[in-house]
This record gives sequence, C-alpha cells and structure tokens, in this order.
Amino acid sequence: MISKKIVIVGHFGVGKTSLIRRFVEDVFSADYKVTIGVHILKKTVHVNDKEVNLILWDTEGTDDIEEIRKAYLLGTHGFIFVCDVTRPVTYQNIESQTQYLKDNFNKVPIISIGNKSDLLPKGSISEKKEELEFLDMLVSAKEGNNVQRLFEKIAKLLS
Amino acid sequence: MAMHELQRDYSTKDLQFISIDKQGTILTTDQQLFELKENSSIKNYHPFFEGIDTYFLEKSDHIKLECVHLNDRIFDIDFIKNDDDTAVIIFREGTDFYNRVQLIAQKRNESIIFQETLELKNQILKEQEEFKNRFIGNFSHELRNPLTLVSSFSSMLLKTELNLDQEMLVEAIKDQSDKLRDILNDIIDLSILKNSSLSLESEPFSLRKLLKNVHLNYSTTSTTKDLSIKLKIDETVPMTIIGDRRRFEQIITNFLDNALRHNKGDSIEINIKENQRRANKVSLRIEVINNSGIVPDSLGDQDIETYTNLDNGDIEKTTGLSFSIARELAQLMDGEILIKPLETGGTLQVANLKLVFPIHDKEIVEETEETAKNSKIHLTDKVRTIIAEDNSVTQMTALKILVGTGNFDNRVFTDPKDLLEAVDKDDYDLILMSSSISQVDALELISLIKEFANDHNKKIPIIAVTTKTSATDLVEYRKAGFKDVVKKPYTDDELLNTIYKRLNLKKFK
Repeated sequence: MISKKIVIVGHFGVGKTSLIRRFVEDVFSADYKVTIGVHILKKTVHVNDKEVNLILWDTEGTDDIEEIRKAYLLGTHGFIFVCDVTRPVTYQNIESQTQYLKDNFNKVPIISIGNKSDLLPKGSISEKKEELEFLDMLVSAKEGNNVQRLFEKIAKLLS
Repeated sequence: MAMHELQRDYSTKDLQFISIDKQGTILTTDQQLFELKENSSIKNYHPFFEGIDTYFLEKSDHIKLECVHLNDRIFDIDFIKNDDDTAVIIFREGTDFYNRVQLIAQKRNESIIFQETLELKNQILKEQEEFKNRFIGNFSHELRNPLTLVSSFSSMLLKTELNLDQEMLVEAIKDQSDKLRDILNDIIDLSILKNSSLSLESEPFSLRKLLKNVHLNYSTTSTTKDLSIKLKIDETVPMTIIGDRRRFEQIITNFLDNALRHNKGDSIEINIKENQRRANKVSLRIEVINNSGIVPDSLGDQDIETYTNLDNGDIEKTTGLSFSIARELAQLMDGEILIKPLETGGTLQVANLKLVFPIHDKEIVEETEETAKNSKIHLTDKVRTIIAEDNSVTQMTALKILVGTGNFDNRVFTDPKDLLEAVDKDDYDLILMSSSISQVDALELISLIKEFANDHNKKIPIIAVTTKTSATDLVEYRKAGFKDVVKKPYTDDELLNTIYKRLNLKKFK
C-alpha cells in the first residue's frame, strides 16, 4: 500500500482541523480550538482499485505560508490550501501563497479550496463560485459537502 | 554521533532516545516517555513516523520538528542522521509549555477573527445602506414627473371657473399632491444626508429676518388660522449668522411641521436663545413648543423603512421624516436635537446648534426677490420657446402651463439632433431643458448648443428643468451655462416665476 503525505495549510480559523476531522472521524464541532504546531492523522482511501494511505498533516494556521515551520513540509506529496469563503483576508493573497509552494516544492500538486460553503446565503453559491474562481472547490466541513471528494481527488492526483 | 554521547548531553527525565535503521526498525530505546519495543517498526507507533524514511534522504543531518502532537502529548523531535545509515530520534516533552502557548494563541486568534467579522458586518451594513439610499433616490426621482403634472394641473384648474364641488375636489387633489411632494423632497433629502454627500453652505444671513419670514409663512396659512404662533428671539442672539440659510430654516420648519401635525392646543411657541458664545462662535438653542399634543420621539434609523412601509399605515402618527432630517442636519452643524414631553401634555422640540457669526455683528441687508405676478403678465410678442424633453408627461405639463398664459410659442424636441438643427436654423427666445434627452446629458447638450447654435440663440436663456438639485448639481449647471434651474416637481407658478425672472420681459411687451 502506498502512503502519501498531504499537508493542509492556510490562514488560522479557516477550518483545516474541522475538515480533517470530518474526513477521518466524520465528526464536526462548532467550537473553535486553535491548532499549534502540527497534528498528524491517517486515513485510507480507495482510488482506481488501489488503496492509498493519506497521512494528513494538519498545520497551525498562519497569515503567511512562509511562516510554517519548514521541517513540517519535508517529503510532502501534496498540499491542500484552505480558505474561509466568508473571510476575504484568508484568500486575498492566495496567488502569492500558492506560488511560494510551487517555487519551493516543484511539481507537488496543490488544491485550493474554500471551506464554510454552508455559510453562503442559499442561492448565492453559483454567484460566489464565479467570484472565487481561483479556488478548485468549495467544501463544508460542517455539512460534509465535497469533503470526501476533495481527498479522493488529491489521492487520484498522487496515485 | 553515538547515542550514549547524546544521552550524556541531553540527560533529563523529559527526554527519550531512540535509534532506528533506515527501514524504521527500532534498534535501541529507553522508556523514559513511552514504551517502545526494540526490533519493532517505529512506523506502527504513529502516522508521524510513516514518512520517516524521507528524512534519511535529506541533505541536512539534523532535522528539528517542533510542537508535534502524538497521542494527546506534544513533543519537540530531533532527527539526527548517522554515517552508518542509522539515526537517533530524540523526543523532548513540551505538553505543558505548548498547552500554555495554545491558550495565548486561542485568545489572540479569537480576538482577530472577531474583529474581522465585525469589520465585514460593518461593511455589509454600509453596502446595504448605500443600496437602500440609492434605491430610494431613484424611486423618488421616478415619481417626480407624474407628481409635477398632478401638482401643476390642479393648481391651474383652481385658477379657472369651477363650481363649489369641483373647487373642493381640486383643492383636495392639490393639497394632497403638495403633501406628497413634500414627503418626496424629505425622502430625497434624507437619502442625501444619509449618504453624507451633503455639504453645508457658508453665507451670511439675517437670523431675525429668516425667523420672521418663517413665522409669517406659518401664521398665515389656512391650517394655522385658528392657532397663535408666537416667536420670541432673545436680544443677545447675533443679528447675522454665517452658515447654510436653507438648511437652518429647514430644521425650524421641520420642527414646526411636527408640532402642527400633532398639535391639539391653540398655540405654538418658537423661542431662540443663546447658550453661549466664544470668539465668533455661538451655540443657539431653538425651541418649538406645542402646549398640547405629544410629538412622538424619533424612530431612529428605522425611519425610512417605517415611512415607506405601506402596511404600517398611518404616517400621521409618526414624526415622519422631518425629525430625522432635522437630526441629520443638526449633526452636520455640529449640534444635536431632542424631543421632550411636557407636563402640560405638550411637547418641546429643541435644537442646539453651533454656528458662526461675524465679529462685527450687524443686521445685513439681503436682496429680496420680487415675485412676478404671473397671472398679470401679458406679452405682446410671444416668447419663442424650445421645450427639450423626452418624457411625455413632463412635456404635457410644461406645454399646458406655458400655453395657458398665452405668452409662449412652443416647440417640443425629443431628439438632440433635431434640437441642434433647430437652434442653428431658427431664432428662439428661451430653452427649457430636461436633465437628459434621449440619454444625452443636459450638460453635454448645452455645450453642443453653445457650439452649434446661431449667434442669436447663443445668447438666449437656457433653463434646466431637472430632478438633480443638490448643491453640487446646481453649481455644475450654472458653470455649464444654465441661467437657472427649476426643480421637479414644480408648480405652474414656480416654473413661470423662474422663466419671467430670466427673460428680458420689456422685449416682449
């Protein structure tokens, strides 16, 4: 079985931990608990009749991606850049942030996602999608929308 | 580096030393922090170690990983590579320390997110407010044309021979359309004020004269014929004030309208007092008292919604928009207003306004505008008039008013091209121009007229008939060459007054 290290990055409070908990344990808590350092969790997914072990590194939120401790990123196979669709401050510098990852981690795939899609007013999601066209996907850790798809997508990219 | 050497350097009870080979098999370990079996794979212990192989491939021999959570405990981890394809992993427990750091980070992040959310909410509220004001502004402008027609036609009808019943009906129509016009103007004023796009003028005016005029106007209307309106101005109050005369007057008239709307007694008092003065600044207290009848307190920022909510019913029961307008104006004048119920069952409305007066204070002589007696003006030669207007309701209104006097020979233009051709070919005496014709703005059109008209027409008065009547708009119209501006909705007298004022009437007699 192959193992792939996925590092989840992004601004603080965007729901990185909630996203992983929804995916790994299928639970959600509305209480916000700040992550410091890094938590590492694991879940196996099946893609193309293969089993892939996703080793998920849930990192501490940072204003700037360069603030992440470099040692956490060693041996990374894929990045998930998480934003909060309700807080523009979490995605306004996304281009430079993902560019930094591209420059320093050659050919490592990056998926940019907007979490908390459940907080968008009903009927405005397609409109918001246009506004957030730089994101690959909108997800909701709270309601579980697109969470499974996200991790399967990155597993497919890596397998 | 041999493990026993490292153990000697790092020896404390918070540390654990593990040596592994390249495949992740534990070669030796102490059991200081957790139990691990020698000869087992460290990869089975926690997902963190599943990628440990890659650290053997890194250039650096010493990799430090801080604050790593492993099974509810937090560690700093050192990975030190040896030359013989083995490595030493040192765990240093930092759970207590990092838990304290977490608490600090929690507070910090929560406070930042809270702040961000507040800013966002504030921004959304601002956008909603702007949308609301824009909507109200546009909506009110749309109402002006039909209202102009109703208002001016009923005024014209009243000047004709009517039987008593007809006269009463037309009077009621005129009265209500005038009221509607006032409400509309209030709504527009308030939306301008809420947009903070209103700037106050600063011109000297005679305070006493203004107050006496207001008093005279209110004392002589039909609705106040059984009322005694008293005006009392303290002697100390400055003769002249430097400020926005129209807006100052608006505060007082709004108070008076409120008082009249709710008055149940037989008298209303207007008192002007001086609170204090310093150098050339004075704080004035303006009181309007109705001795009987409660004026309800302001409805705050909900005013517009309440006022425009048709389900809400009786507007007479509220202070209407006038109090809100007065409050916004007072704030612009660095002052405040309040409403207090009186023990007598009446209400006191107060405005405390900070104003400027000239150091050498004396009564100034203001130019008085002589109102033309429109109905008595009969011209021998007709005034050749162009009405440039593409709205049929407004065309008809203007036409009816002008034709009714017998003094005008009118041509209506709805296409800017035809208009430009006409001012080149034929001679005219007057142009009445709407704020836009076939989507060409009046300001652009007047510059074209100045360019393409024949020499005669270049000198004739051009009057703007428009809904754009903010101070900035008026300045722009004047600058562009308009002789005057008539505000929609207008009455027949308002339109004729302006026209006669701007024409050299001797030429036509």
